[in-house]
Amino acid sequence: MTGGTAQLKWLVDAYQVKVYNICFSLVHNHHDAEDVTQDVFIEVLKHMDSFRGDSQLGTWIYRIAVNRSLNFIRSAKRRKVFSYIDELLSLSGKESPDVSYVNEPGADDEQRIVLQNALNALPEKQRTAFTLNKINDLSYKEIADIMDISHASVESLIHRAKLKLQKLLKSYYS
Amino acid sequence: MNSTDPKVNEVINTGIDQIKAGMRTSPDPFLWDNIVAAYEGSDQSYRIKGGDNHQTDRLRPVMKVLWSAIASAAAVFIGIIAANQFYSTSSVNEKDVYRREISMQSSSQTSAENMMYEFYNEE
Repeated sequence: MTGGTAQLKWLVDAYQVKVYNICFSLVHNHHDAEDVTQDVFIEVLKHMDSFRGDSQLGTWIYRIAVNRSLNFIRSAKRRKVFSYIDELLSLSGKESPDVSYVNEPGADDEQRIVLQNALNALPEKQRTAFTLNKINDLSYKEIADIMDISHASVESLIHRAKLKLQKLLKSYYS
Repeated sequence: MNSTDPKVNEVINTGIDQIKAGMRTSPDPFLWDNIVAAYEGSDQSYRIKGGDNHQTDRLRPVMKVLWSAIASAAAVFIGIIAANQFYSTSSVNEKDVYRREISMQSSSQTSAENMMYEFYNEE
């Protein structure tokens, strides 16, 4: 492990709540968010030496968190397709593992599940920008830095995300 | 959140609040230990939670499908090659038959011409 252990521990303690919440807001599942958070910090520790200081440390860590979460979602979708094919071909005698990343429904959180499903239907960049702004309360500037896009692009992505969400939810409830 | 539909507006706002309610407010006391254990035992596949390699378990049916897809693709490929071989052989045969017919036609035509030539020359 590079660097002083005490500093690295401080870094994990300082950023883990925000990193976890970013991961959770994107993957929509506590267990998966814990796994992704752990992977984020392992990557951070491994590449600490290559951090050039072009951006703030927090921005760099949150960018890794967003990328890791999006990769997780992509591979979960792939696993879902493969397990669906697997079920169709009936190759597996046992029940396929649940790869859904929207789970843990409760009696009172129907709207959360409906919103999460609608968010999952958004294009990746729109979903990311909307989630970081509306759920993680990050500013447009912070999102622009994390996603490495302009301030205007963030505004546009969030605006389009809102319109698409409204359209999706309207058709869901009509 | 501005929306023309109050129901949609409510779903978005309440949904966001419910997601936020599930967020963490205090650090996980075990995260550092987990990271250290995973980092030190890191051989490019670090999974410590649960102690089992559930990544491999999850990929097993995928690999099964992948292998059967490769096997099916190979079978289809061999089938295409065989069919191609068969049809190209039969088309050669057809060509040969056609050539033979043409040559027979032309040879019978030539002998007919010869007969005509001989008939007129004799006279």
